[in-house]
Amino acid sequence: MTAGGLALPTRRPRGDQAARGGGRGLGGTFGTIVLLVIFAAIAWSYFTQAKPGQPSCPNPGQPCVAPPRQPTGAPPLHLGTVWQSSELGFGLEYSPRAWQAGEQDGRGIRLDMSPQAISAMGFSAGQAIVVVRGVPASEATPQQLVSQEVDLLRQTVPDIEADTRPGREILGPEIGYQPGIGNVYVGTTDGAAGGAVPVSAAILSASDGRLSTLFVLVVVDPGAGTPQGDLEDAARTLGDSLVNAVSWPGAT
Amino acid sequence: MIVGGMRRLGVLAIAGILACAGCGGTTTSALHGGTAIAAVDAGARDRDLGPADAAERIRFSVDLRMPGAAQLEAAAARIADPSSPDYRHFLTADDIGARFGLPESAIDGVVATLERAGVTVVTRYRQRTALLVEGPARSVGRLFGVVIHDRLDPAGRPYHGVVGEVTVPPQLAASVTTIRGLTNRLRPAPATTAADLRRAAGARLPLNATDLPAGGLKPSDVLTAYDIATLRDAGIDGDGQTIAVVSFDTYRDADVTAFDRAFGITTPLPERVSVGEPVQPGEGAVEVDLDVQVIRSIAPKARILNFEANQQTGFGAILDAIVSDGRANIVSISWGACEAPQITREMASEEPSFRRAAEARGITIFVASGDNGAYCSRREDPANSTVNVSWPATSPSVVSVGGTLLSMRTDRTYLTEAGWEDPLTGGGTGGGLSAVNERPTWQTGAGVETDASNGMRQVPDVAGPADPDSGFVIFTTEGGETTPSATIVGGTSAAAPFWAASTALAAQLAARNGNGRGLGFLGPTLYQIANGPDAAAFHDVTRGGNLRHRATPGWDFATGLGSPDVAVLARALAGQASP
Repeated sequence: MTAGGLALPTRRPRGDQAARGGGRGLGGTFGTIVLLVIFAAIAWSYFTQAKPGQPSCPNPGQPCVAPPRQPTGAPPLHLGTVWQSSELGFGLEYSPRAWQAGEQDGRGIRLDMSPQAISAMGFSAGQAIVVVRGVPASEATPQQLVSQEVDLLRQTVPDIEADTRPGREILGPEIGYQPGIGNVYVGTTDGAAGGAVPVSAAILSASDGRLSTLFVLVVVDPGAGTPQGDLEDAARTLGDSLVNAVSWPGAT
Repeated sequence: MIVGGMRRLGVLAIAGILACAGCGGTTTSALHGGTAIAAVDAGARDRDLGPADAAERIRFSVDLRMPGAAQLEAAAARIADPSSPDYRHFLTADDIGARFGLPESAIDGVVATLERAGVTVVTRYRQRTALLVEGPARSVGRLFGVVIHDRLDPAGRPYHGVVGEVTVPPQLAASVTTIRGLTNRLRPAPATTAADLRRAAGARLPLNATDLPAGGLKPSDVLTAYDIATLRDAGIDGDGQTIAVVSFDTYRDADVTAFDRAFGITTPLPERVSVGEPVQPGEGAVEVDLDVQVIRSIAPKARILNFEANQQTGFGAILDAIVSDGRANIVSISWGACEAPQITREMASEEPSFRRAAEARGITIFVASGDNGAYCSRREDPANSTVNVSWPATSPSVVSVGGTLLSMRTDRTYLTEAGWEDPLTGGGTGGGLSAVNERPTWQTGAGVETDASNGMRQVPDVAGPADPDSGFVIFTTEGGETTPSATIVGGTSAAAPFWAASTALAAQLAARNGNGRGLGFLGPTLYQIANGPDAAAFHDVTRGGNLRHRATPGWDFATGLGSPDVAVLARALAGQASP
């Protein structure tokens, strides 16, 4: 479960992953509707008391604030596929149209940008991979996770090194809004047709004290693209949606 | 209908180039005893092309001395004081001019002097604060003792600047305080971030096991999520309210019409108000589309005045035009330029226009805080990670609007929000400390005083949906196309008109309660509400950040006081409006 294994992508059927976020009980839906109707009626009554020129507040000139709207109890909206770590409890929601689930286990998942997504964005080449995984914080700190990942990537990107060019640093690294550390690394790997192919990897890691997580975005041939932009820009844009979609155990 | 692919990326790239120009020189000349000292007006990497053609038209502003400036300040303080009998007795532009400005005869003398020099008056503002004037480069140069030069900024865009010290003729020195615009290098950039790329790739943009309706936020989603629907159901729809949009571009009627048709809006199209020459739709048209359509989503019956000017027109000139026009008491600005260090003088010269509008005329100005997190400079130079904030969002006379990512429930009601930050691309809600404006006395309350506080203005004040993952559905005509299509656009550019429109609803509710005078400048009021018994008017955002500062309980540098529960906020504001 590392991006270092990028030369050997494994694909598994998504199976029930896509359905996990879907089903909701009719009772809950009906209850929600009832609550909404009641609330709307109350609200309508409240506001329609006021005629033009007539105050709707008991004491004009004084605050007349009704209580804020109470949560309806409806479940969170899920339109993507929800993956959850069976061993560590953290999760991730992703679009099955943009990302294809690859190798996964109880601690992490690998996502490959779908060929359709790459094509839809106008690219004819390149590859982007995201790996999200976690370990108990007692096993590794974020710094250790990053070091381990760089070492693994070095197996396929022997010349990997930190990208120190101005503007390449990751400002405000976080995973699921948990602040952490992060950096960009670059190097080359052997291309299928021979020759060296450039690779970039954005590696982020964070910990809440109980769990340490790692988020890796690897882009092969990051400069592939069109005059308007390259694959790395596109992959990072899509990656931002993923890195913010990691949920920590116990979080809202 | 959904556009996709790389076209939006192209727009983003262009926007980045536009933003570069904002880091350049200044246009201000500060007078000292009748002599104006020209500020640095060229960037180090700019190219001077030599003297401008003698006939090149130079448009600039002449700020007029206000003999009653101290009295105006005192009047403004009374207008803002709830214990004063003048509370919210706002002044008209004519009032300001007649009571505090130069006599008409003195302004006539200024005009005559300018015209003798070959400079004509384009606009004479009713509040007698400034004149918008224009003349050939040679005449303008002679008048002020400088030579107007043509230059190119590093992006290759032309502008004009001055060589030499600006000297004001003695016959003008008694009546003129500041010359603005002899250099027009500053070009504000829109704070829009498009989501087409994500959608094109099929990404569904989830957040923490939540997600958004396919296709972005539609008007009905916004109304439900932010508790606006209850107001709308009660007939609060913006009727009778007027919102001015500051635009350095314009919109196409077809774009707004397509949006209206898609969402059942039947009210008249916005009104264009040109500040200077008429503006044709350009690369910033999507920004104007966003502003106008977000407002129409929330307050469809509010009158929208699109004050449009070319990008080399100063903010101050447009604010002066809005004050003089007198119809709007809410303003939305989704454009800005990074603060330090290049444009501090420009900002200083524009501030009086903001202050007069906010205080005396009772106008609330909502300004987008920027889309590069705490690092505004990155908008202008991706390699520059200097901590910086966007102006005019840092003006103490505006309400600065930051951005969030909205998560909803399946019934589209509000679930939670996070401060917008995208660490891989460097996008995020603008926020931080101003380098040039001091913190206003009203910016107080829980969370405001932090370890980073240094007495300077802290932004943003409030927040609204801005992350392109919870972007708004709008209709716009992409470059190279002839018909509008739906797209999703985010950025704090969306959050500013979101607040402007929400405030229009509150003003209408206040008017219905018999308090039709207007709400006035809302900066102080919003902090009072957030720190008082009506604090539930805000969703306090406590997750996310802006790539540097975290969203925390109470005020924070990422989301300010938070986003509104609009119905609760409207009732709070309406209740506080004076009868």
